[in-house]
Amino acid sequence: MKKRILSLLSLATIVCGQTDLVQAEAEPDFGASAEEELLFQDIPSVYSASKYEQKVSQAPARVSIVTQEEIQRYGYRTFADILRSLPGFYISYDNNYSYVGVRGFGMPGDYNTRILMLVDGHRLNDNIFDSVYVDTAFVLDLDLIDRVEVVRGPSSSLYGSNAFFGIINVITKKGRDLDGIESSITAGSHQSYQGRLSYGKRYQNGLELLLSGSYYDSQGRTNLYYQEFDDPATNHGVAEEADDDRFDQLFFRMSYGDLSLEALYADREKGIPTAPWEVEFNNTGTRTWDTHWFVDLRYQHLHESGTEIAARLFFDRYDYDGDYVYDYGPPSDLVTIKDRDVGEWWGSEVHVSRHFFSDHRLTLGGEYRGSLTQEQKTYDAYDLWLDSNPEINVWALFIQDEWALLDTLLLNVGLRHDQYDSFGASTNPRLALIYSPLAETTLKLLYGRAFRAPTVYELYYHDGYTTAKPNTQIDPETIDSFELVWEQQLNRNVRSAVSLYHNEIKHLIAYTVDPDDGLFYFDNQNAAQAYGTEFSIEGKWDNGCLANLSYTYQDAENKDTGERLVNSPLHMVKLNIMAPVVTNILDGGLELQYESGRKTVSGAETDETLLTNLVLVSKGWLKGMTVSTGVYNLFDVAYDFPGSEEHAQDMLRQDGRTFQLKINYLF
Amino acid sequence: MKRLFPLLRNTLRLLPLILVLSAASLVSEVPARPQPLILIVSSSQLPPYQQVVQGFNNSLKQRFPEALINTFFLDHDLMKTQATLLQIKTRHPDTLFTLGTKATQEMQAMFPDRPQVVTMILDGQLLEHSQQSTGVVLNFPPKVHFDWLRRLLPEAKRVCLLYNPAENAPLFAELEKAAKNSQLELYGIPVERLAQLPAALKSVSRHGDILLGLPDKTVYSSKTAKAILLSTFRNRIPFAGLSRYWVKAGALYALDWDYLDLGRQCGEMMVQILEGTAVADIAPAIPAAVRYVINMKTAEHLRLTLDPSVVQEATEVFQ
Repeated sequence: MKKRILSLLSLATIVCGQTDLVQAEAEPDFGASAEEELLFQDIPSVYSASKYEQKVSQAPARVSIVTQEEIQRYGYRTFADILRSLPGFYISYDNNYSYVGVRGFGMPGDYNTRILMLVDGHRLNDNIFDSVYVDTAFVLDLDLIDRVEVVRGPSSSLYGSNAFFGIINVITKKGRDLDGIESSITAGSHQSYQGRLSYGKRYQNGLELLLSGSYYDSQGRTNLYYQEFDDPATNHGVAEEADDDRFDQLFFRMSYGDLSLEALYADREKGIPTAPWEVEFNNTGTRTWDTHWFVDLRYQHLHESGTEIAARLFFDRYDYDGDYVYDYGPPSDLVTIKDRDVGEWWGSEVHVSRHFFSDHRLTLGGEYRGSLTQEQKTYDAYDLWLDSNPEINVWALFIQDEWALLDTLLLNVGLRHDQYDSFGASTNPRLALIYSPLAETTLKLLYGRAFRAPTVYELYYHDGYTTAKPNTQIDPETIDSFELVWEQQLNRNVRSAVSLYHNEIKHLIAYTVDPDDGLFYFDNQNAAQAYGTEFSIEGKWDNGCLANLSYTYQDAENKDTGERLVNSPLHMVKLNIMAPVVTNILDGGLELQYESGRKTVSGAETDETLLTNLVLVSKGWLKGMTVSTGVYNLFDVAYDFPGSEEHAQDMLRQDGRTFQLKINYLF
Repeated sequence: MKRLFPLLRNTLRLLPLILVLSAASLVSEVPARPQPLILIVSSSQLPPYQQVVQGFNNSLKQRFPEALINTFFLDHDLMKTQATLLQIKTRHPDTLFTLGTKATQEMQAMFPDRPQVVTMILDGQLLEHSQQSTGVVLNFPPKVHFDWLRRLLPEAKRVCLLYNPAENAPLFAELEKAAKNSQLELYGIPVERLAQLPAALKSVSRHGDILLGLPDKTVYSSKTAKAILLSTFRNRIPFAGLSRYWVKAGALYALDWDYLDLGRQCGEMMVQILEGTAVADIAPAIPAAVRYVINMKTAEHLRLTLDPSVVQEATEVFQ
């Protein structure tokens, strides 16, 4: 398999590389030194440049950037698809939510709380579950993304809680990127339809506006078979029309000079066909609703002295509603247990950066997040089981210094102190030594510590002590991470990166069962550790070819027992190739993803899988129109993800071959 | 002895012829005008430099066809340049024509008392430092920049300029004044050191309709070119580059020079010197002709619709 992938990349290199040789520029003549050199020397073209190369190489972490061009050309349908394409990231899906695994950690029951997600720097993790969504509940239409910056490793020294395995910053498009009205219509398998209408403009007075609305509706898989429910009483294990999915999204952004105002609304409804938590199987009443909206006012200013000031004031609201249908019989007595959770919070942050003594860049900042509501309610027609509304506020101060020890050596030191109303304080450092002995070579030695505060859900959730109980004595979990990164520009078009890392996690918060009373609860449990390596090589050529190959080895285990962690593939190989099929008319995007088996909750292992996705994008047929069509899981491979503690299924079967057709039109 | 007589006899026979030829030779050694030796020293062999040399030669030869011209190109290799300079040192030029800072500085030091015409330089101070130097600097005046900016991008109002105040404060003041006259708003963003550039570029994306690139050693260099081009490209801010090379790499447009005409201008200055005008009486000049190049691929990315005449009249259009 690896051989096949390497051959394909070699082929891409040969095909694209040859074209590049033809287009190669003459070497610049540096005879004209001094000022006029600026005028007469050849400069590398932006069209073939890796757009964020500088950002990546100077960052005190291993960074990946996915651009809108890649999102479009690989036909990514959800945010999970974007993350799945990156080294060290993997996804699981339980037909309700998608979960992100990073560097070997993808614990069942973790609602993506160990990554911090930002939209234009605005924190998305809510104040009840600390969760973020990467499936259809993700708050933005992917068409509105300009790029996604993925920073691996602990970043609590700047961002506080949740920046545990990394941060994901989603940068949205600007009004100028549309400069008019744009619409898109998508149709896909499972009777899935999506529409978007956007307007963007930068006016002559400098005001810039982007307004967009999206709608999605999918019937989902109409008949889902689960062996665990294969009984005449439960429709022979077939869940019928219980996989529906729907969302609405609105996005607004206005900016004028240093000021910008951003607002976002997203709601999503999803049927749950898997019957978790022992609910009635094949009942379409079991479903969840997630709604998130925020308003964010931002000010950024560069003072004449070179001091950069950034300030932000925001308000967020998150609603989670869950209906879970149980049969209290016999005789049959179908009752819906309802979860109604509301989180409201506001906050502000300020940071100031300035250069000192010619070789220091100091950043000072502070953040406050105040909870207005952190309400959790669970009830049915008979009882109110949970009615909790604590108030946990947090403030933080941080400092970071980038010290250029030499022209080729940069030391990045950061420290952040967070103070929580609940458990108290957490202080987290980061040290990064970035050495660039040659223009093409960067070596990074990184150390960082991060924490994740226990969530309100983990602290207070219970269902009237029927199956779950609260535990308010949970400490934050911590991670210490050591990493060595080597980034190398191999030639004008090809660059590679290798990293070796070791993560030590303490006080891991996990769902467990109390043997005394048989009730589920969250608690700090065993320590865990992971060793791993990620290797990637990517090329970009002037003719539009782009290829990316990565290999990940990640060995994550329970430190006390030595057992491999659940839902953690040992090997992953990913290959992405993008190339013009017909120049200026048709582009092709091919994606291959291999992963070895994952251990399940019961100790079994899923099969290794190789998935292939193929997308064709046409831009040249009609001015302003882009048509893309994709086939996902091209060879209809049957594969599974591990189920979670709440599932009767040890493994959950995933989608076979699916299709999508999308038309974008810019008026 | 017998052999000597025939030789003498023949010589005597030839004597009238020898006398006539000698007289003719004496007459031809008195020139109508002196035959001046002009050294051309160029910092580079790049095509623009060669075109300037060609324009200079064409112009000079019209008035001084008999002028003796020796041309030297300096090399980026230090050893080769040293060898070339040693070779130049053996000459005794009447006047010099130098192209580029390096060649100009070397010749000003080597032949301080010789008149020198200079071009392909951005720093006008090179001419002020020497009483014997004049020439054509490459800088276009602020008004020229703004006139062309208004013609190429009539909707652009806010013009950003990245500059190091220590280096270019007077230029910024001059530009600010010219911008007002052209009804444009100029946002000067100081960049005192390289590390401040990323923040400055972010500020450009928030405030500017266009980034005007003017030579500044702190801001524009081979180290920063990529960052500046990528930032303006990503943020869809038109960038008026420093030259065609910047446009080829992704800037929207740049004012360019008619190199043959630059040579012609310098050639005319040299003629004046050879005809006896003192160098001090020949004021340094700016390029007489303005050209521009544009990048249509960048224009498309910026979603700009350029006036068809603008595209037609460009010296070069990158597609």
